Amino acid sequence: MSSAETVPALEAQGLCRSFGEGVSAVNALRGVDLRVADREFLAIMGPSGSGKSTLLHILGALDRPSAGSTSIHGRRYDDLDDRALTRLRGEVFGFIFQFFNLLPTLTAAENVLLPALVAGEPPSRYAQRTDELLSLVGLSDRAAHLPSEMSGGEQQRVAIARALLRRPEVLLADEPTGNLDSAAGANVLGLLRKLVDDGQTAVMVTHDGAAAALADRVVFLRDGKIFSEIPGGDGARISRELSRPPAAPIGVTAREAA
Amino acid sequence: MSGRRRPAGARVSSLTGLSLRSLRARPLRSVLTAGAIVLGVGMMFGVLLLVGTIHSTFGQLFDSIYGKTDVVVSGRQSAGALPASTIQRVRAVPGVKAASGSIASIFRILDSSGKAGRTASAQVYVVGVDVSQPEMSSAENVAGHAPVEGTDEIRLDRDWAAEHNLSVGSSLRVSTPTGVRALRVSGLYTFPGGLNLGGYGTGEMAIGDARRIMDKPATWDEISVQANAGVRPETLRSRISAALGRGVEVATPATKSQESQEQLASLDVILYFFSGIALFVGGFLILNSFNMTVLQRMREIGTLRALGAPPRRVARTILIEGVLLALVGSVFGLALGAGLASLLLRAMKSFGMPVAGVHYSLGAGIAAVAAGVLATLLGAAWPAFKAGRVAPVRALIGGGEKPHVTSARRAIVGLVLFVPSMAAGGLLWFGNQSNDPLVGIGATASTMVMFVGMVLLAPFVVLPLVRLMAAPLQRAMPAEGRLAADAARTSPGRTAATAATLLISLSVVVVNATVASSFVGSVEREIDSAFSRDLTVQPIGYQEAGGPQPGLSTRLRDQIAALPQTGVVASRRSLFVHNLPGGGSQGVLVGYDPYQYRRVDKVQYTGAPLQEVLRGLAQGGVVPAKSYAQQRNLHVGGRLRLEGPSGVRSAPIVGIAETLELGGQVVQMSLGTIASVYGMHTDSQLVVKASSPAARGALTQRVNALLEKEYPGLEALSQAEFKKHTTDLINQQFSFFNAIVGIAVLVGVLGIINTLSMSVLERTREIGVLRALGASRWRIRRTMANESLLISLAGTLSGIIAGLAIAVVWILGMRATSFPEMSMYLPVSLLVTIAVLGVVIGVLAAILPARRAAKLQPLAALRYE
Ligand SMILES: Nc1ncnc2c1ncn2[C@@H]1O[C@H](COP(=O)(O)OP(=O)(O)O)[C@@H](O)[C@H]1O
Ligand SMILES: [Mg+2]
Repeated sequence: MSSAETVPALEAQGLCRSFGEGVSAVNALRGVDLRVADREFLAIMGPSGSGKSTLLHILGALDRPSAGSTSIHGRRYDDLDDRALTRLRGEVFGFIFQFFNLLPTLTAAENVLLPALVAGEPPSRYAQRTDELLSLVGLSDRAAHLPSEMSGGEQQRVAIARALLRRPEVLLADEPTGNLDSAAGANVLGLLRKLVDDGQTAVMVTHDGAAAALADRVVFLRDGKIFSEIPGGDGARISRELSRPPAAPIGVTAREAA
Repeated sequence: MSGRRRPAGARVSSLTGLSLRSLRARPLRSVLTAGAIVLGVGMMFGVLLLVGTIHSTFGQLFDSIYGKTDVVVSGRQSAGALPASTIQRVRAVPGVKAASGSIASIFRILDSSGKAGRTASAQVYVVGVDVSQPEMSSAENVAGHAPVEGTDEIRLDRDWAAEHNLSVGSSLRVSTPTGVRALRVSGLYTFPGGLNLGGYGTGEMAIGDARRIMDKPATWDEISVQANAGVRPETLRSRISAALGRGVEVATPATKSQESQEQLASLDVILYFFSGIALFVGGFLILNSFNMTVLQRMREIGTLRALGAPPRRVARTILIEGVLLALVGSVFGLALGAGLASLLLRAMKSFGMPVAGVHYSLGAGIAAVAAGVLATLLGAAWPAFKAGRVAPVRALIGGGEKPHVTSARRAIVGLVLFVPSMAAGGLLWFGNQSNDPLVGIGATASTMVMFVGMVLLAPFVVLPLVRLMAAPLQRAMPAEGRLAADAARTSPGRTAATAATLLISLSVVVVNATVASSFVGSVEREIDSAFSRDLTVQPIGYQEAGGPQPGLSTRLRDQIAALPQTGVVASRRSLFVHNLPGGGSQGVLVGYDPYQYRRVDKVQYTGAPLQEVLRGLAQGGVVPAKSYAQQRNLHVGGRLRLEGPSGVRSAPIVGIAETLELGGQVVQMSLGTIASVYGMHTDSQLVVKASSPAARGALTQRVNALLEKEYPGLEALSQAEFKKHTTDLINQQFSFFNAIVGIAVLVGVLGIINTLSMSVLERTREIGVLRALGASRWRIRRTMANESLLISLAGTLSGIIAGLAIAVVWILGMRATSFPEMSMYLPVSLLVTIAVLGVVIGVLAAILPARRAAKLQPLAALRYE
């Protein structure tokens, strides 16, 4: 009855992730606890190398934690086998990449349709949805265009449409504006905000304070741990938070964060 | 709306569409990969057609000549002749309705100047039959009448007659064993089932005339039998068999036909093996090519995985790409194969094999395409598997670690596969000369395993060679040499795999050529040291290990003996058999007069003093060649059971002959023995020695004049010519196999082009920087050419090294086991040719990719992501 309020859309507990072994081991995450509510827009910020991408990969079932647990709407998935994780990626999560990752040989519409093809579902079932999504992202007239014929902003909007195709429970985006100019970036962010307003849950990694300001909540990661957390909307507070010692000089790391 | 199949702007409706798109997006790679399949399927189909044609020719032949025959009586596996009296014994068997004996020979038609043609269509197989007996073949008279006894008439196959403008009543001049004869065409016939012997004609004469002209006065080559109504052929067969001796074969036409098809089986396996190499190398090129694309498309594949594609679906897109390429490649491969088949058939014909025009069969097409698809799937399987296992995070980080190609594990697995299979391959190919096709299949299988071992070991040879050659290249051209060497070294797996395609095909060529040149060298040495004959008189193009032979008449022998310049004339009678006495292998029975032959050729005997060997031979003993004796464990003092159509006896082994003639698959005996056991009364060759070295010139002239005038179907070869004739036959066979392997070398060339174009793609940025810094197009081209040269030279040199290594081991093995007479002779000129070919391939393969690289605009190159 009340589960809708109490069970978060996404929950992580004690997430650890290390790469390599012995002396060269890197502890990318060292105990992250995180809850993302239904219909929430969460931004993750932090200096380069702080573990943002690693966290997002684990949340998005692209990677598995070394320790800790993850669950989606109360269903644990850190301990699932590869086959089940694959299903989650296709059905439960929608991933948006910094470099768009459209398939160069497919048109915009075909790229949007790709998750259905990949799941072996008949494209006819998604014909109407594809049209709707392309018009949602404002690219109805570019349906038959190849990625090479589109700008970066347009490509990223196609990627968002693709991520939405199978109505994911959570949308995940890793620096979605990292490769776009400010106008295109603003356009993409506006789109994400609108999606959340319409009921979508979303988690976004970004190093752009202005982008984070659009989120409902911002968590700051440092050295693989959550360092602080503030509500979104307040741009000034976000920049203050980012420059708090011992934070790395943002101007330098922001570019590396790519 | 929801009834639409696809959304606007989308044309693919499954991941198969994605496979198609990615094939189209990389046209050069697709064409090259499909090219490998075209060549592989083409050669496979060509050889399948060749084999099918040979079999169908023999099938037709048996259907035609035994069309109305129930049982055939002949020497064991058609070798040797039956005594004349056999026919009475056959007729006495209850259930025999009719028995008709025949003898056969080959005549050559003479042109208007009296010269005998050398082509297949100048030759006609002539049988002498008793025309009073019923017709045993399926021939149907279409004009004139059967030949009448005592008139030198011949009835001819209509098609052959037409080709030579002969009709009923016309006369033809032919060269026969007893000299030039003018025959009159009494009639024409056809075989309703069709019989195409690739130009050879057939004809029929009355038995008396044939006996006289063929100089076969008192034997039958074969007796055809018809059963009384109600008597089953099989029943009659066993009755006749019981009535005749052990050396006689009594068979139904069906079993005889089957037997001949089985005799071809070991040849078939060898042909399949050599043609399979192109497919093997093609499959390997596909493996390499798909490995490269999977590596290159890591981000794309990672994206598919991140979007929820299960591993098998990703793998399937790769396999579908492969299958699409295989199917397209197969279509062109079939077209190529049809062309190759007629070339191969022409080559076969030039060896004297009677084969019809290409016999197309659906089965051959299906088998070739299936083999092509299978090779492609095997090649694409590993890359597809790897693609399926690409981690989804690759979508974000791209790339993939380059596999380590010179691990100790790889070396160990490679050696474990290579060494035993090389040993097994050598033993099976050359160990005991068995004509059991199972041995051939085993040899093929071990050699294929050996190839896999070679592929695994390739990096350990190829990469040091690349480093070795890169050093001087860098000194000569610091910039381009450096870049080329880097390119070859940064992707060692790719470099090694590309070179390995050349390595495998060329190593086969080298092994083939080294074994051939060692045989040739050893035979030449023997001829030089032991053969002191001056002239060898034999039918044009004569092959001791060949099919039916015309035979020489006793009259010719007397004529040559009567020449004042003649010192000695010795007869040699050779009978090719599918089973030599004492073993299961093909070989030749050779008969000669030991004392007389000794005065011409000084073949070494071991195991007993010379005089004892000669005496033993004269008294009915036999002398196996050393190789055969070793293979079958025969020793002086032992016995061999001789079973021929004219007699059966157990003959003592009186010596071992140190001869490699006919691959050492020889059992020698006296003229008397070969006549009384095998019914071999006519000579195959005459070897002549001049009365003195000074008389040699005059003797040659006199013999040539005699042959030209009276026996234009024969030729007299000097010692040098005989040597060349003998070694040509060996070389011919190996060259034929090498020509088939040659197509695999072409596949290797495609592989290099493929790798280089991949290299251009990868190095686009680097090339752009060079261009931006002012490097000329020419310089860019040279960089690519250098990389190509490094790979192709590494491939050819390692092919030579591997080929020589295998050949040395195999030849040493042969010396120790089956061919003690054999010495190693290197095919020096071929090795040099291959090394030169390596340079040529390197330059040619670079042309296209180098053009592409040079065409890159500096800016475009820099923008490439
Ligand atoms: N596959 C990997 N192998 C080894 N180390 C990695 C791997 N992925 C990430 N790391 C390390 O983990 C740390 C966190 O990386 P990442 O999550 O990408 O940081 P961010 O996205 O915040 O810049 C870094 O030190 C990085 O070098
Ligand atoms: Mg990151």
